[in-house]
Amino acid sequence: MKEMPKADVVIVGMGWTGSIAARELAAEGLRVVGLERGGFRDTASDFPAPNVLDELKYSLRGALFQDLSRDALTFRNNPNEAALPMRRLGAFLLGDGLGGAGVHWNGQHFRFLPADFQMLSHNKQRYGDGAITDDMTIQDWGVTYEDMEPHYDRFEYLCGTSGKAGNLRGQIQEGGNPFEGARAREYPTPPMEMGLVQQRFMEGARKLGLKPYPQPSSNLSQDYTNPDGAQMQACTYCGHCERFGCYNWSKASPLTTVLPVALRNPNFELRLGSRVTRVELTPDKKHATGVVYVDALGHETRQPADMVLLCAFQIHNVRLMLLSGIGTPYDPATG
Amino acid sequence: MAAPPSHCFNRRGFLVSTAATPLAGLVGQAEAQTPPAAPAAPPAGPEHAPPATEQGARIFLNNPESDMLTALVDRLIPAGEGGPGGVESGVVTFIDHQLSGTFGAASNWYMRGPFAEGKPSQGWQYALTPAAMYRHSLEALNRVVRAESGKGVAELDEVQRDALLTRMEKQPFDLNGLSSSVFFGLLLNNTIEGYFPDPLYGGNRGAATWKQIGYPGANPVRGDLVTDKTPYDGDPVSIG
Ligand SMILES: Cc1cc2nc3c(=O)[nH]c(=O)nc-3n(C[C@H](O)[C@H](O)[C@H](O)COP(=O)(O)OP(=O)(O)OC[C@H]3O[C@@H](n4cnc5c(N)ncnc54)[C@H](O)[C@@H]3O)c2cc1C
Ligand code: SF4
Repeated sequence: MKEMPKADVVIVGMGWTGSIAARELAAEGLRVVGLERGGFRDTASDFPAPNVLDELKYSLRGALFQDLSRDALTFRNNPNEAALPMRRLGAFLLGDGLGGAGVHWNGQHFRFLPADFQMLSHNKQRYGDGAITDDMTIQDWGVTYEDMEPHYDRFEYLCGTSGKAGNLRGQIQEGGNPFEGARAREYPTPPMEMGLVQQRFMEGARKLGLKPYPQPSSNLSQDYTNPDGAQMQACTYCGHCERFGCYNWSKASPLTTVLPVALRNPNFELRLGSRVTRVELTPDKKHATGVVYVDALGHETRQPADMVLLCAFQIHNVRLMLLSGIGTPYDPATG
Repeated sequence: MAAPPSHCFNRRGFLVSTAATPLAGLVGQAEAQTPPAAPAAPPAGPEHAPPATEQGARIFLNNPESDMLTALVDRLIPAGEGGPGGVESGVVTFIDHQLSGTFGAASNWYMRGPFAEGKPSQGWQYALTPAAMYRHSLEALNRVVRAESGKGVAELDEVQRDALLTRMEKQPFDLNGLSSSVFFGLLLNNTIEGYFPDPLYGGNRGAATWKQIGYPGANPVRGDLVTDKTPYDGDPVSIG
């Protein structure tokens, strides 16, 4: 097996989570290696207009998604069914390549509500202890909305998110979501233009006494430069966000925000075409010592590191953990 | 020109009205597709001969396959007023190109065995790639039809082709192990795809179907359209 020099951090997968971690940890002075199974892509080279506005290629044939001929998964709709391979893409779409699903996400950019962090205690408080029976597996997250607020705020300003605050430091704001948790400040950019359908819907909802509000989106209503100096442009409403890369640097993605910063940092090394197959552990199985991957030329390679970050998307992270002997598989019969 | 049977408009009307919703929603989930309304009994009328094929220009399809597909596509989206028919808009050319490329080869699908029956909700569980499914099904379909009527699929008249398509979908029969409704679903999906794609792909010739539904195509700058109350009447932008 090929041996690579030890790194401080190895990151598996370069989607939103991996790219953000790469940017942050490289800036802290750690030597970071990012392993991504897919290839390179960037706005100018890969998503020019009009070529990227290709419904057949991207929306129907799923050019940006996981290549199932190389990485397949099985599924069943209930425990009594035999799990069968997902042979072709349907509604469930997995990212692949630099920037991961963050390249072809829609850009809908919500925060959790305060209660979402405390599903167990919130529901007990509201409906009584008896409302939660033993077979319900819900838990509180262990962090609260207030803990997360500065991070939400920072990420929205990184993305340039367009929206209208509904709660500024406890003051309810006209035109925003009155049920949201308190925000330290307004969105970095105002909401996007409402189309005729949204306008009619809002009128109707208001007549019913409801409080419709524009959905926060990281498709930008205005030109914007983020705190790292990344420049983004006002969206032109081409309507090809979800399943496509944005041609116009208008949709926040790892490619338009954190990756350019990480890639300029000499502490960060990106290795594309690198498919991680397992996490290596100390003999007592308490610590990760690195990962094994198959490189772009097909060579099995060991990358030792003090820290292993699984950022391959939850379903792949769980699979990698199970293949590495970390944790026990979920059993729906016992919860 | 003789007036086409009135049910032609119904089918086109269905496609055109649903095309206003995103194409992906209509044909993206093959497992939950909405079929066009069953045709009413067609009025007796002058026989509409299948349009001429362009046999020399096929990549994957052989001539009998091309003729059969032409005959079937011609009834899924008939020629008539208000817009091109499926065949003249290039649907068969589109399907031929698709089958000869990565889609036909299922090159990004998981196609290794073992293969099990699967529930409809478990999607494609066939060992056939799309290209192989067309070849398999058209051959079997032609045999079934010939045994029943003494004619091949491409020789059936309009009424017979309508009845055949309806049966394939609604009273599925066996196509050498495969249900005719599975093949019908694939054919219908690809026909709709081939009617509305970027002209780059061989269908939607001259972007005529986009003009028909007022779709701007691959026009990246649509900001002023968001609040515009008038239907889009500019020329669609296409990649190819
Ligand atoms: C079509 C679509 C639209 C969406 N729209 C929205 C939206 O509007 N708003 C919203 O909040 N969320 C949306 N999501 C969800 C959101 O995009 C994802 O949850 C998010 O991007 C996941 O980020 P991630 O870093 O966890 O994983 P991913 O972005 O999936 O990144 C994982 C990366 O790891 C790589 N990888 C996987 N396995 C390996 C391996 N073994 N070795 C090496 N590399 C590996 C993959 O190639 C990939 O690049 C959408 C998702 C999709 C698919
Ligand atoms: S220009 Fe706007 S609508 Fe088009 S992909 Fe970019 S963010 Fe989406």
